[in-house]
Amino acid sequence: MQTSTQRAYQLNQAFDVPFLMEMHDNDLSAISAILVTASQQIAEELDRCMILAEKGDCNEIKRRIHLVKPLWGYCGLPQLQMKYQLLEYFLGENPDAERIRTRLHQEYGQIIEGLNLITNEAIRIHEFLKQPAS
Amino acid sequence: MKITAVIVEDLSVAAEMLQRYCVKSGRVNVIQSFSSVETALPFLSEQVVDLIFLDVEMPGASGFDLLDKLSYSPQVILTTSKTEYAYNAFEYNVTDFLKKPFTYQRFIDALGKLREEAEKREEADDISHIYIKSDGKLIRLENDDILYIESMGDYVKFITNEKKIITHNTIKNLTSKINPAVFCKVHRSYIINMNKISDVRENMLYIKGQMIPISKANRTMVMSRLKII
Repeated sequence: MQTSTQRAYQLNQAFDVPFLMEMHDNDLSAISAILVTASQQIAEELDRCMILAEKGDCNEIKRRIHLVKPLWGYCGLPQLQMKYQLLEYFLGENPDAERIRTRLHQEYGQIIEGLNLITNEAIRIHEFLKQPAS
Repeated sequence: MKITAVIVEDLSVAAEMLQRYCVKSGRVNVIQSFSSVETALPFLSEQVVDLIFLDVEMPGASGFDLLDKLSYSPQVILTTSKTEYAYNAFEYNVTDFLKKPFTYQRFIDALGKLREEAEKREEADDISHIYIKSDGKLIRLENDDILYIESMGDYVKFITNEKKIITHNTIKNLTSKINPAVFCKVHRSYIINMNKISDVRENMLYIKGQMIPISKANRTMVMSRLKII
């Protein structure tokens, strides 16, 4: 349900705001909930992928990247969904362990930035929703 | 009346979002949600549904494997994050293809296509014959003349009382085109005319002395269509 308070909130423009608002019916609580769930799941899978990369388990990393890839989109960050798509293509070439490690380490910083963006936005929305309606 | 549907999707966020859209539309009743083909298949072999929201890449079997194993042809809306599956979607005659994530409006557009597809299927239910292309001409076959249809890779063989006709087609494609009241897919390589079965023994059925296998996945559906008294 959209309220006057929610209308006053400005989402960080790094997100695809129109898409996010439409997908979640302009409901800030729903957006906050999905940001929290998605960031947790992406972070968990990223940790697993980094461990799997040490073993060079290409297929399992590819499966996990594929699984969480749409979560970036559900959070309104299509550019990171595309990054994961490119990673999936890369893993589809069955690279050796060294190439997987190098590539994941190259991407790691930007992925963490994306996760921080999501986490910070979820906190900001949470704080905003705690404020009494004026 | 609401459409009965199941969701087969391994990403819980996507499944929840889809469920929410279905409720919001007021047109779709999701009776069950599964995270893999292996868990969905036993349910779908027992329960006929109007629609499946189907992810393609899941751990274990893929969404297309599920469609291969189903003995009936519900309407299917593919939900995937890879556009590369569009060609397969066409091959499997799916009703629509939703790229994750998608908006509510895009979801509603897909439901709109269901109505058109349902109308086409209702027309197919009334048809007593089909035309097939063979030797550069269109040949009319009455449903009642067809005993069964056998897959031969990219071709299929129509076996009638009097002749065998080979044509370029697939069992997958035919499943959605033929009259479902008369025909039934009993195996990934066979569609049979239910009215022509002479007897059934364990995992085999016989039509005019020809032995036809019934796959494990299709057995429940086939048995449920026999009028056993």
